[in-house]
Amino acid sequence: MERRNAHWGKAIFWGTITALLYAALFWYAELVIELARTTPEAWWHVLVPIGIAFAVSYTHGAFTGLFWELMGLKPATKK
Amino acid sequence: MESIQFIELNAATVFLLVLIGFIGGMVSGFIGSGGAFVLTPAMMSLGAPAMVAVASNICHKFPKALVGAVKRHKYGQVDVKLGVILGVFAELGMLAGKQVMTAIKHSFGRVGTDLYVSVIFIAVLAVVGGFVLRDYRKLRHATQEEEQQVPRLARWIHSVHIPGTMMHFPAANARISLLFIIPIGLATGMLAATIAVGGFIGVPAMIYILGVPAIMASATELVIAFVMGVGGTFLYGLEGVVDVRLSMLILLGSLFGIQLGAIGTTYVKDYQVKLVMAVIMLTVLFSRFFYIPGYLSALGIIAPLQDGTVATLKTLGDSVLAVALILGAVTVLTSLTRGIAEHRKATQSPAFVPVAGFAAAVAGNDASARLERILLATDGSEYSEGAVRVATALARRNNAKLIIASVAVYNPEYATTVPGLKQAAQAAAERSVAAAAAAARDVEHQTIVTEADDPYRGIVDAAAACRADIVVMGRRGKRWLARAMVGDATARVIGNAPCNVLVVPRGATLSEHGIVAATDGSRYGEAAARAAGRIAAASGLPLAVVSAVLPTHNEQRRHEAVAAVERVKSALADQAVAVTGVVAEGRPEQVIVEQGRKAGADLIVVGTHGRNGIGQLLMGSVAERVIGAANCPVLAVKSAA
Repeated sequence: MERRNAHWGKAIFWGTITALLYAALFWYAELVIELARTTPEAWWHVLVPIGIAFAVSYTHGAFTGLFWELMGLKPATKK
Repeated sequence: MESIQFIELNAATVFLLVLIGFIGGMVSGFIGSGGAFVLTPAMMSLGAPAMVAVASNICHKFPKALVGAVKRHKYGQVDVKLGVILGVFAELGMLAGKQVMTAIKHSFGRVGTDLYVSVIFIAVLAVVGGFVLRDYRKLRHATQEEEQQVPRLARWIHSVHIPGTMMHFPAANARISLLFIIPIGLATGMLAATIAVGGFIGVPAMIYILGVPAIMASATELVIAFVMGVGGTFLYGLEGVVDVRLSMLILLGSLFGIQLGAIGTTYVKDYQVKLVMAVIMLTVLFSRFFYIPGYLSALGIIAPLQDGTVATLKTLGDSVLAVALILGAVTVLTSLTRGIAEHRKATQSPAFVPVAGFAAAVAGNDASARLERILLATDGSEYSEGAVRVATALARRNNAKLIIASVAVYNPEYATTVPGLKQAAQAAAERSVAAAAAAARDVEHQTIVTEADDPYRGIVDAAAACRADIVVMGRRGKRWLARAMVGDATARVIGNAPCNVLVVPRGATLSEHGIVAATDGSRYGEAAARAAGRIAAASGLPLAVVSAVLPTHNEQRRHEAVAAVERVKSALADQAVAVTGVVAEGRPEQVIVEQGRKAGADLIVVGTHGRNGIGQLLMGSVAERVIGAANCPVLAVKSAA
């Protein structure tokens, strides 16, 4: 039971961070689209999607793993 | 030149993108290959131009590839050198592939690239889908696993020696000319730039041309996918076509789906997965045919079609694609629910009824509890030798049942595109349990093979499923730094197992001279000392209770350490145990291991917080460091509180 609670805590932690990242992404969607239009002078804009992808993959990946575990879904154990 | 527009996002498209990501992820977790062959056309159907769909798809994939590559590197499945070299040339291939796309875009506009992507898609899906279908038929009729052999072509490639171009690759265990590696990299990159699924070429080429074992090919492909993905996102980013909103919405659903699909594969037979894969691939292929007349007519290659006809054809294509996705989703969910129901039935049979007084003699508060089920986790390597020996001895002495478990480690996402990956992992696990079973033939035993993408998960699941009283396992000879960075199966098992864990170094035995218990006065330390006291009482062995103080500790902290040791001693006063107390200065792990050596102890008992992941990295764990440094078995006791 203790372990389950600990997982809930972690899942809520990563879930909240992921939700905040998504909220920020869509709150600033126009800016993000603007940044996607790179120019030769502002080539570094391409680092924006790369950074976002890394951050969201990490937090969301951590969250979904815990989520399914908490839902009780696990791979089969075979004889 | 036509400027590429990002699609408008409203509630409906956001919902659809997340749903497509989820279904695509689920299908891809179930049948492998990253699912781009579902995601790219689906994004195109929602109105995203081909370049945006491909670019955004690549952008959502590469961080996932990095996580996977790091994970599998731990199991020695990644040939970093091969991956990086192929990745670099794939990058060049990608550049070339993107140039082709850009040139087509400049000459023929968006429709031109849409047509090009569709045609390549159809060609690749037809070939790969055909191969998968062939594999399905073969697997279905296969009665015995065929021994994995180096393909004939690969043997010839290994025999070719071109001076100045030779390089040794551990994955192939051969020296191979770079002249064979370069075209594979280029082709992988070109395909990835075109349809965002480079693995369709990279993985089979590594297996059939370079002679890399399937399990390593799929792991090394993750390095290529990462190198290529970052580069690809960068290049398409310069072009201004990466729509990170699309990438992240797809990712939102796909990460949920991919894990669900991967779990689903463990409940079905291999050939069923292949069949679903072939059917979905060929359905997606079929759906692209409906778009082609529209593209051809827009480019003026065929007689102009009426707008209504183009729209109808597009609707038909979208519908076929939707059918493919729904078919995949339904298949995965059905097999998952059916599999789980069957699995529950099996695990609720009498063989899995929990033993009375779950807490075992080595840990429980119930003094009458017995050690009835011992889970031996083995990977068949020399690192498990000590664990096999000790677990067998424990089972024999306690008349306990020995459950021998091994984990077939593979990434289900890749298992279905790579021939024999799953079978190879399963065969290795079967060999491991068989070897341990032979060593334990004089005790009652049962064997289990679990499937997981991470060994610790398989062991923890097996321990939970068979209600083990204790897990006995070996430890890898990794240095602390490497362990702290990449985590370690043993540390994770200790953190997550529902019972205590006995870690046995390779050469160790339980020869029973004495026991050392470590306490720091915390409840975890006290729980360990109490458990050690029970073992000492039951076995009549002397017990040394150790507490460490650092040179920087003040008098009060030193008094506390002495008090902690005294507390344990007085708690054991009414039991016939020879207890000595030691408070020594130094780092806890050094003090504990040193005292164990001095006392000639062959068992160290430590408490554990059960911390893992980030908590462990930040806080450090004495238990883990003791396990890393000790030459005798270490029992990690979980606090009941």
